This record gives sequence, C-alpha cells and structure tokens, in this order.
Amino acid sequence: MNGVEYADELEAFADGLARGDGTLASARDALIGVTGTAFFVEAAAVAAVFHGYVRVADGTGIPVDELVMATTQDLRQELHINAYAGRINSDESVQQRPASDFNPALD
Amino acid sequence: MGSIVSFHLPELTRYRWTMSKAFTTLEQHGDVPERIVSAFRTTWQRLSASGTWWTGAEQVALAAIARAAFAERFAAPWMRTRTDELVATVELPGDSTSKASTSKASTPNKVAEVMVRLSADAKTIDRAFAEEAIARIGDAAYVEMVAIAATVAAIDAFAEAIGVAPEPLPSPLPPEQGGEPSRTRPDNMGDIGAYVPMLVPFSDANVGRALTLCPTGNRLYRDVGGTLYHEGQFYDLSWDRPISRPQAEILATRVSAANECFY
Repeated sequence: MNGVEYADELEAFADGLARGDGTLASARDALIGVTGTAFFVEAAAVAAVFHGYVRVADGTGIPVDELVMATTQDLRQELHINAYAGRINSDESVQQRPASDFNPALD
Repeated sequence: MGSIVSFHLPELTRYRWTMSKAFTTLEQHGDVPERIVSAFRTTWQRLSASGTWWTGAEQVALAAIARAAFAERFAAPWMRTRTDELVATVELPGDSTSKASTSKASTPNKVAEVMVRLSADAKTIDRAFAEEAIARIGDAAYVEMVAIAATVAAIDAFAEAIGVAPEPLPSPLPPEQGGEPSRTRPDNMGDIGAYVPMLVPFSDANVGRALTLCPTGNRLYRDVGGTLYHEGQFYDLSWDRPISRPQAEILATRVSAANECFY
C-alpha cells in the first residue's frame, strides 16, 4: 500500500492496458466502479499518453536527466529498472556526484 | 485556374465535413472532455497535411503502419503481420532518399520496419538500430516518424482504455491544400548523447526536447501529450482535475515499467 486512493485499481488498470494480459475489461470495470466515469476517463488519458512518451524516449534515446540519475540509484535498483536496455543511454557517472551539483537548492 | 478550384473545392469541402465528424464516438461518450476530442481532431488535421519531412499522404501511411503494429504489440514477432504485407496496404514512398537527404537508399519496407519497431517494440531500439534507420531516412525525418508513432500509440491506447474502436485515420489532403514538406532544420540543435540532435541549451526535462529536431512532429505529439497528461499543470503537484497528481504518476510509472522504458 502506498497511501494513494484507488492505487490498487489504478495499477491493475494500467497493467491491463500495457501488458496485454487479458485483464483490461475487468480492470476497467473495477476502476469505474470505485471512481466513477469522470475520474476513469482522466485515468485512461494518462495511461494512454504514456504509451506515447515511452516511444518518444526510446525512439530518440534521450538520457535520463542528471539530477534524476543522481538521486534515484537506490530506487532504480530496488525496482529492477536498471535491467532495462535503455539504461545504456544515461550517464551513470553522475551518480557519484551530490544532487546539489545539478540543483543548488538541494544543497 | 478556375477548373482547379472547381475540381478541388468539393474535395476540400468533403475533407472538412469528414474532419468535423472525426472522433464523434468520443464526443458521444459523454464523459470524454471536449479538450481531448478537440486535440485529437487537431492531430488528425495535422497528420493529413504535410509535416516538415513527410507529405500528408506519407504521414497518413506511416500512421496506418504505426496503428497496425501497435495493435499487434503483444503478439510474438513471428505472429504479427509481415512488414511487406503492411506496406502493401498503404501508399508509402518508394524511395524516401530524396526527401530526407540520406546517403543510403531506402525502401518502403525499410521505412515500415522502422515504424513497426517504434510502434510495437520501442524498448528494443538501441543506438545501432537508430543509427541505421537515420542513415537511411535522415535524422529529422526519423524524429518525425517517432512523433507519429508516439501520437498514434497515445490516441489508440486511449480508445483501448475506454473500450471504443480506434478512430479511422484521416484522408490525406492533396498537396494543394496540405502543402509540401519544408524540409528545414531548426537552429540551436546539439548533441546531448541521444540518437538525434535536439534543442540546446534546455532547462527542462529531456523528454521535453526529444522531438525538437522536427518542429511539426514535436507539436504533433506534445499537444496530445499535454492534453492527455498534465493539461498545463506539469509543474503542479496538486491538480485541479478529477484525478490527483500522485494517482496520475502511479499510472505513468506502471505503464512505463510495463514498456520497460528506462527514461
């Protein structure tokens, strides 16, 4: 649990759309059932548009922004994100530097 | 001149009528905000006219390939429609070399292969693949293809998400109305370590400049992206919408993870 309302239903809906495991229809019904259609449509919009953003990122090979690379090393390890092929596009040397190097407000 | 006008006017009228009916299914859904319907209609209009590197006919053909490949993204590669079969259903340019200032000959199949990879297997794209594609197509024309693939994916995923059929693609405008590609490159492009040059300097997240080498492609995707995602509230952690920012980020993270997108 992460404390975000409807998190379980949102995760199931996103997985149903993005993983093609045959659960989309039931996940859709479950999300609408707890949130209503106005919320659901906004959720559908966000889940849909990230099918575009991932293609922009992977198609152009953009590196992860330095501040993010420097501050998410443990998180990426924990979530196994470092196993993704696109990791090679980002500069891991920045992980050795403090976040304040990239944003003085974080000093 | 008079005969040209009389010949094209019905065609343009028909086009405008057809475009005004696009996405009616979403409009009649009742819960889809008008901003989304409007943004999708604008996107269809932009696809049907010339981009910076591809004509309207080529953009629509590329969108058709993108749609077909996206629809089969969960199928094993050997179970999908063959690229040459996809190409046979559209009017893709026989040789885009002259359009994209490339050093290698390109073919409809090669162009389509790039579109299929972008649409169905983007996570497998690496520098070698991108460089090969760019050598054939040209970097800015490649960026425009990325934009089309991303745009079609977002719009078709939205239809899937809410459970309606995908909207038929627009008919391309004839060159008289849709214009010709300008094939111009913007200034201030630099190497930031990506596969393609992009705007420098830039003080925002890299995804915001990923498509800047092709201004029309950048606009094509970013308008859809902004409408579906943050609606002008990207820098706000508290949104004035039915969905909250943390809820939106759960969806964003989950979809990105399912697509194995490191960025």
